[in-house]
Amino acid sequence: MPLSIAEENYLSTSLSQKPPCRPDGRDPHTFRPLDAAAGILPATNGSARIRLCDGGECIVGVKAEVEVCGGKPVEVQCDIAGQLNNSPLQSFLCTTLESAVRNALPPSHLSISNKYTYKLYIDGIILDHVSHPLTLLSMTIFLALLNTRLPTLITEDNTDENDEIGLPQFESDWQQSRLLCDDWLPPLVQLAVVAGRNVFVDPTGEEAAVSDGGILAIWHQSKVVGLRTVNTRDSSRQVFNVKSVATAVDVLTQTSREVENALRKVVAST
Amino acid sequence: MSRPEIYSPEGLRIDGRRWNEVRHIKCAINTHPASSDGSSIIEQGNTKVMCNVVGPAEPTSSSGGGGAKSNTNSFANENKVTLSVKATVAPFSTIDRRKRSGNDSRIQEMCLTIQHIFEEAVMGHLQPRSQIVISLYILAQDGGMLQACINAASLALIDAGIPMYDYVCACTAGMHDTEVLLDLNRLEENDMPFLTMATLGATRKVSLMQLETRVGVDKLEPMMAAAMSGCHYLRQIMDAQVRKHGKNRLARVGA
Repeated sequence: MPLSIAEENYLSTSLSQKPPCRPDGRDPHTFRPLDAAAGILPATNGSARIRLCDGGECIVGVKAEVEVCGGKPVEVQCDIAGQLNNSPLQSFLCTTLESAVRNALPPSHLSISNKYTYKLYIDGIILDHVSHPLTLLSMTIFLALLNTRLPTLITEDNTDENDEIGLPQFESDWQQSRLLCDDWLPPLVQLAVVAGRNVFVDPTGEEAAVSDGGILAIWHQSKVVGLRTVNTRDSSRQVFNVKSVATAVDVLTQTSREVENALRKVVAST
Repeated sequence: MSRPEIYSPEGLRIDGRRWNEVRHIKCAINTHPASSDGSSIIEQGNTKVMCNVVGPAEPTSSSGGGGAKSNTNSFANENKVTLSVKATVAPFSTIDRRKRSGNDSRIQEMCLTIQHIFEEAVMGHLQPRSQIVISLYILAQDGGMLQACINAASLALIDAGIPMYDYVCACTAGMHDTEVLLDLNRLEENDMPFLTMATLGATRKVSLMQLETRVGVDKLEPMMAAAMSGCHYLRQIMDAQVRKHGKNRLARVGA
């Protein structure tokens, strides 16, 4: 539902004043409550589901397949309900998250032998979204990767040349499998919107619609490793103060740390 | 590679069932109250399907679950409700990951089949000029995708409070040599001719029968009889679940 001019004006004024006033009374760095579960699909290597209180929902399944070394190690694909394939939003989500995961994942975690490697297929389905689905998809992928298990290898890790025909053999006992993220944490991509001098995380659809623009931060190993502006509203006007970028990094650092800890607790409890 | 024994001489199947036993069923309704009018999730064995129903609502270009695109207004039927069905098969639903394109012909055919079934089962004349969007999400498949989709859609429509003549329940039955097997899993489906049947509640009214493999005509009747009894059994389970949900909900509002 598009906002009327009066509504838009009211919302944008209340968001940009100091201190800001969000329609639902949240702090700038507070998330809405969400419902998260990991390990929901036994047929995948790792899976997760997150549901937001506005009805937005995302399901992610991770499948690892054995491939010959040399290809792309990670592939991220997503389906957005109600949108055609190759929509701009879909390709934005896939490329952003694919490069984030690929850059963060050490190649040694996927290697099997000198010839074979795992390839991770991360597939997401966004069943419904009211607000921008980037944070939702990123958090679900984070959970699914934390939940991902890879079977242990039982063939000797031969570096011989004559091992080329031998396909790797795996332990059939799933209890013996190893976690992909034993000493490694997946990246988190968080979106914040800027309104005047204020920065808000987890924006609702209306907040994003009246904001000056969005900034995404890729968070990995307790650092912000990437930053990008995102168009969160239809118009081409997207101008914000340089100081807002610094504020955004501060706010996103704080919330990413908290979100990361919260999601790790979800996996630990399942 | 040795082939698994589909049906042992002692009368046990791969997963230990007898010929007339269905896989374990777990279903729930009203699982997504925030995003849809009616929703359900059903697990039949390792097959898992989620369904969201939006409607009955005014047909618009961006109706809820988003099955229908721009031209739905021209489809607004003056006499009865318009149903649109959309299915998404998750790429991770099969053992080996497989990405299906959006307009896979098998999936489209399945959507059309489901649409036809529910056009008969829903009292469409009560809601003219409106639209119901059924979105199906297949999260895991282990045989019986169509039956699980039909059962899930049936439950979600009931949850949405849409008047229907009865539940539509679907079940598969296969013929292994001379033995009828009920509710096949993926391995069994690949090995023998099977049919999917849907009935309107616990009646003998058949709303769908789909048989895509070659089978002797003398074997058809026992397969149909078995599938029908499976449908009737499923109706009991689904009905029990809906009643249980209703009871809980009434208790919550304090009635």
